[in-house]
Amino acid sequence: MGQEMIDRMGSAMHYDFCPWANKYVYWLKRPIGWVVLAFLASLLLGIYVSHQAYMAAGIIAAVGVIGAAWPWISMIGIRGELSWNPSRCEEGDTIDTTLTIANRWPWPAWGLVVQADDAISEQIDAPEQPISLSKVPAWTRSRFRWLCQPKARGVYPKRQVRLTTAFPFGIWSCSRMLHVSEPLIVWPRSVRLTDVPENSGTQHLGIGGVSQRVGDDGDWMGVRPYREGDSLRQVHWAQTARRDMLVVFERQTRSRQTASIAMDTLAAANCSSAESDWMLRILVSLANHLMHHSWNVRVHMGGRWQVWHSGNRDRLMDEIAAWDPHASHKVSEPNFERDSGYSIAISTATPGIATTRVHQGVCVFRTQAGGIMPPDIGDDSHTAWTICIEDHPEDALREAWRQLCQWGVASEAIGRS
Amino acid sequence: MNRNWGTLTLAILASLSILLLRLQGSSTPAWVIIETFVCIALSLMIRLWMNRQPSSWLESKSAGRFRTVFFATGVLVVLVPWVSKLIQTRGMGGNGEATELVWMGMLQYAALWIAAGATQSRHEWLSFLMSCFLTIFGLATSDREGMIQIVGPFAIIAAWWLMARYWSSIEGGFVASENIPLVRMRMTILLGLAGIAGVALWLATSVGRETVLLDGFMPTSGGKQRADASARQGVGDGDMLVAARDEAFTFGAVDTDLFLESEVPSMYDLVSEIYGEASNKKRKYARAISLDQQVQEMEREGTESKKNSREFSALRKPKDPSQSFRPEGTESRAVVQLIGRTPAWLRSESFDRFENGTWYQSPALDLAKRNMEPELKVIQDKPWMTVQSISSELAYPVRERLAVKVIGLESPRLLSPSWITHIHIDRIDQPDFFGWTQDGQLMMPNRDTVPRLTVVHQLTQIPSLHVLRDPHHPMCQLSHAPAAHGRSSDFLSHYLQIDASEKNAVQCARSWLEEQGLAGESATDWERVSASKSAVQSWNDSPR
Repeated sequence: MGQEMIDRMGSAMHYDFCPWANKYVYWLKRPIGWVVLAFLASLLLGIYVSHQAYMAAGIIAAVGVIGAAWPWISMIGIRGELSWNPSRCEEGDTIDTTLTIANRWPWPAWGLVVQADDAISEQIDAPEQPISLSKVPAWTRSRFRWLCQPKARGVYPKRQVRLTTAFPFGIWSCSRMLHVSEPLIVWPRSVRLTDVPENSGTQHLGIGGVSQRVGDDGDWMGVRPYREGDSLRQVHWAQTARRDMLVVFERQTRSRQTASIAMDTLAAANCSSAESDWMLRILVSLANHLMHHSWNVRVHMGGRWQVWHSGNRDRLMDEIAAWDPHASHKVSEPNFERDSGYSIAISTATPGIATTRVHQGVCVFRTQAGGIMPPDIGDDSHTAWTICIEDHPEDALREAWRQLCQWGVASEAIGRS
Repeated sequence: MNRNWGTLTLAILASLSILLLRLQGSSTPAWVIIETFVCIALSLMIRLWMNRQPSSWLESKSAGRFRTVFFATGVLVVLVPWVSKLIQTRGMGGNGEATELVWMGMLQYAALWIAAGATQSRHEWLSFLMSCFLTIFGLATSDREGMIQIVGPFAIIAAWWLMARYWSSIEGGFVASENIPLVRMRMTILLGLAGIAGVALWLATSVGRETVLLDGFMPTSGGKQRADASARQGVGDGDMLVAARDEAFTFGAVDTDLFLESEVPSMYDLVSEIYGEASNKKRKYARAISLDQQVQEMEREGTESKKNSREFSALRKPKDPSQSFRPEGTESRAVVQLIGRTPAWLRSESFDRFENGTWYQSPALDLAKRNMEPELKVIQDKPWMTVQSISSELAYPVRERLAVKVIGLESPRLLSPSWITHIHIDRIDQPDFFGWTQDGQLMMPNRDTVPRLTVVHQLTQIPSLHVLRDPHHPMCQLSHAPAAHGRSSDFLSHYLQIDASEKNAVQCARSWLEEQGLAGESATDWERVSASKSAVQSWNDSPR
């Protein structure tokens, strides 16, 4: 009861009763505002009350002058450059950050702080502390290195990186912009998946369809002379004896399975940034996993289907890293073709946001702040899994993918198509 | 330096500065001192206890309970000055402290309490701001020079605290470790700060106090617009009659400036090189004392104020903008003004004969010859005159001081208690300015009146009559001089010789003394005189 009352009182004291007046009093949040106020008050007291107050005014003025002039003088000769190695990484990866500072003036600079985007402004050794430098000597070029773990996708820096100092009193700060030669691109984190969709039913599903291209599967297509590297098991001995030269036979090749993955951009634009980020992580995780298992992967990006393969993966990841969900809601809806293999849609489970746009025969992964719903087996419309982003979402995604792969519901969908 | 201790140190220094201010305006200084030091001690104990807790204690449940208790206790601590004033005014019948000093006291304890229990940076910042405000306020509104001894260390520690606060906010994220000579660096900065502050101090002290004081600041400062029973000082226009600097309850019979152009006679005279048209004013000349060449020519005639204070109307009136800022003189019906312990009996004339309902002065009475001639004696660089010496057996050793300012007394006599021993008038260093009248009253000879607004400082002794009640003490007799009993030319013979026609009165007096038990040898003459005086005072028309 007492704690509740104290909490209520605390809430009341933190409540903003006059938001319209904030712009007139926010200067008091900065220490320099209090210094100026104290100086004016002391001056008035010295004029009207006692000359002793002039001494207080003098001391306060001295503190203010030193506190304002020292940072400015310190930063006059400072120039700096920020770089990362590597320049591309995934969320949570450890990268090496290098800050090179040149001090061209004959006095050192103390107590400098790096101001950058929140995702890249922390170092591993001190995660909740701003990145700061104790001293930059005079007439030197100094190099500072630290390890950083970017926490959110994006192309950095999103805002100007500055080097500031408020030494010695912390009442007024001066800053200098840092040059960034090459931006840091942080990709969405890819969740490691282990399962691959099982093939059951017809032979087609077991080995995939065959094509007339030359390979090592399927029926014979013809014979040809032996080429360096051919397997001796492919030697057609009868023809070899007839022609008195090595002849090998050619077989068909298995066609690769296809997966189409699309993200509900309208849902991403209307949900929270945490949910939209997880939608992207799911998309990237599935695309990378299927690509590594030699699937043909198509991803609906920028209003069109694009093939996801190792040649253009980096480019697509860069696009995803820089993707702004609020700028994409007018893009046309993806059209899942009937013979496009696995069809996967990524959406949100937030009520009222685009859950009815999922087409029949499409597997849906939804992000939500809730528990995983069991797959709706037997539902002919679609099969959906909900990933709770606040409750071990990686594990939830692996579990959902495992169920999808083992139950083979998508296989039935392909069979029908 | 641990920032928590730094915040508490600043709060303690600010408390001491406010304590000095509160002592000036409090009639119970011991109460204020005890109150303040108890709060400081409590704050220190809380801080010590909190520093001994492990770092994980802040997240525990016991920390939550502690915060609740700490907050509730803090509210009570902050209200202590207000409660003290209530007790002093209603319970003890005193005046308590001025209202603004009570507020300052509450703020003082709030700063201490917050500093003691600070667990976050913003708590420390809040306490720091309060401490700075209290120190500035105390420095500006107190005229005690000892305040500088508190403000100086406060400024140094405050600057150090600011530097430590900024450094500790960033040192957790230092990328490259390096040994930074923090103490040397901060001392250098403080020296620069001291240099600038020294210049400011020099500027402040080179300006005279009189040129910057205009009005009282706080409601209880006194001054020209408001007054309060708790006033500590009053400046501004008005009567310029504040005498004492420390006690505002006294009015000032100050030695005023001298206006030599006035028509009234003065004890001072001056020869200067200022020339111009001769003044046609008729003067009355009397004995005067010469002054140094320190002449200030005034455009207008000076202002005299005969009252000891000035009344003001409770009705608010707009000030006439055409009215010049010149204090107006005031008239008074007072004869003299007294500074000293009251009641006080000042003798003007004495009579030794009572006949037919009238008091007379005997023509043969000449006490002027009995008293000593005034002698110059310098006391604290002031010219005092020793006019009388009292036997040490008959008076307390400590002298009392009083001052009498002549307003409307048209007489050369100086009103004074009977046992005046020393007298002083500003700049009068010649003994022949003083004399005795025939009836033994101190006076200023060769002049008709003592000049108006003359302040006469006096030292007197208080009679100690214990020896007069001791029958074995040689002074117990009415007059210990044998000559007083024999010679008819001495005034005492008038008291001790009774005509034969008054034998009945003598017999009646003896009988009354016997009834009172004062006829025997065990009673002294003083006891008889005292009893007679009491009987006369309570006389109710009894034939006896």
